[in-house]
Amino acid sequence: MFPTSMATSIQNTKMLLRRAFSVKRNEILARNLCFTRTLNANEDQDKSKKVVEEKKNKAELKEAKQKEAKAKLNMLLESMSKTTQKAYPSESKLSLATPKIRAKPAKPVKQPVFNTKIEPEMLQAVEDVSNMLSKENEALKNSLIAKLEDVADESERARLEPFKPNKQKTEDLNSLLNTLKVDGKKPKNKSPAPKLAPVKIEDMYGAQPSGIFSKAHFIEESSAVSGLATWDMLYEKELELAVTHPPANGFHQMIQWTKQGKVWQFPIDNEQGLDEEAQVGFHEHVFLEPHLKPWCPRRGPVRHFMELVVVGLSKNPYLTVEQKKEHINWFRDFFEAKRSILIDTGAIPDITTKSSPSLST
Amino acid sequence: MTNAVKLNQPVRNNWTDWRMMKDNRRRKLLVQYAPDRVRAKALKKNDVLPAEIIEIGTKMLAEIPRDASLTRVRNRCAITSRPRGVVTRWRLSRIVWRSLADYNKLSGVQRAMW
Repeated sequence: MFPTSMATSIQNTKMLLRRAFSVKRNEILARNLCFTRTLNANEDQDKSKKVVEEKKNKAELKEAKQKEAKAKLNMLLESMSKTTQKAYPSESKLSLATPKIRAKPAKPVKQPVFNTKIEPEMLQAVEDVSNMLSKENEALKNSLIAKLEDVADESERARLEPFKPNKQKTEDLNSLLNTLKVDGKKPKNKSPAPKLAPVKIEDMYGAQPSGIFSKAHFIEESSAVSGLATWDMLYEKELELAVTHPPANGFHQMIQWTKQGKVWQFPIDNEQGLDEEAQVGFHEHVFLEPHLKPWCPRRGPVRHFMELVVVGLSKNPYLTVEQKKEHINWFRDFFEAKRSILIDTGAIPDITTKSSPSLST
Repeated sequence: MTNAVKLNQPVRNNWTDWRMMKDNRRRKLLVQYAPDRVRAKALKKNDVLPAEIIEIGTKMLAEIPRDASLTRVRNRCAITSRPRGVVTRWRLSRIVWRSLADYNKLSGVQRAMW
């Protein structure tokens, strides 16, 4: 029916599978045939006979079930008896005849056949292994492939069926674990820590440097400026708020202002807060001619201009003395810078003619 | 008056409007350039110094930004930024001033009656 060339291993597996399936198919076909035959037979005969047959079937089913239950009971009893027998020693001291160990015939496994696809890579590996060990050993290859199939089937079965704990295996494990139990006693005498000899320091600062860190490159902690300026500002604000207590109400606010000196004192004094300025006399504000004396010429347009400036400053109550001085000095610097222009225009008399370094003549 | 400006809102600035902000900017520039401006003006506006110096003075005045001028500053209402009808002493627009006066928030201000 099928090509029976046993050249490749893949074809072997396919063959096996096909055979299994064909068997099953034939079985199904046979069953159907029988059923149809019985059906046809019943149709020809009377209905009463059919009923009788049905009753018989039911009885048979019942008997089968009873038999199964009995078998199960027997199994349980046998298992129980096994546990009770464990009290007695299993090994006997008599030298009795022992049977020969014969290889048991392989029982037909009634488990469902799975269409487990063995990966081509796996098959290739199996092939390579077999080739390595013994070249062109067909039997070895087949055995290996069969083993592979078995493993695959088992894994599939285990995957599909729910896990039922094997009592025997658990009992064995428990006995094993009991033997491995740790004793309750703790070791009392612990080995003491190795005692080092005390270090004798003769001269702390006179010894030669060891030079361990001579080649060390200490990574400086990067104190990079964080780009989160707003966050930093807000953090500082929060810190300030945590320390200070903003006024809870208007009274608190007034108290705070009074302490800070922001509140007007009665009777109202217009010069409240200007204490330093009050100490400066009016002569410093008004008599500013001494500031012109060192540098300004006695005659000419420059003098005229500066006289006007000084008069204006003397009448100004809003500037401080320092500000007024700064004003005058600025003009001095400006005229010093524009000296050439002034000479050209004739505002300042020529210096080359007269031996004086400054503007004043 | 303390709740005139809500300080918890997510805004770019807390000025009533942009005109108020610009006015504030002009005031700041005015203070910054005031001395330079006075000196440049003095050099320009006099008939005593030679013409060249006066010319230099005019140039210096032109270099100063326009927003540093006093004439560009407008005394707006501090709360509503109203440019007109501002009561100078309180720096408030007449409407705000009136509402505060009615609620007795302005010291010494009373309803006129004679």
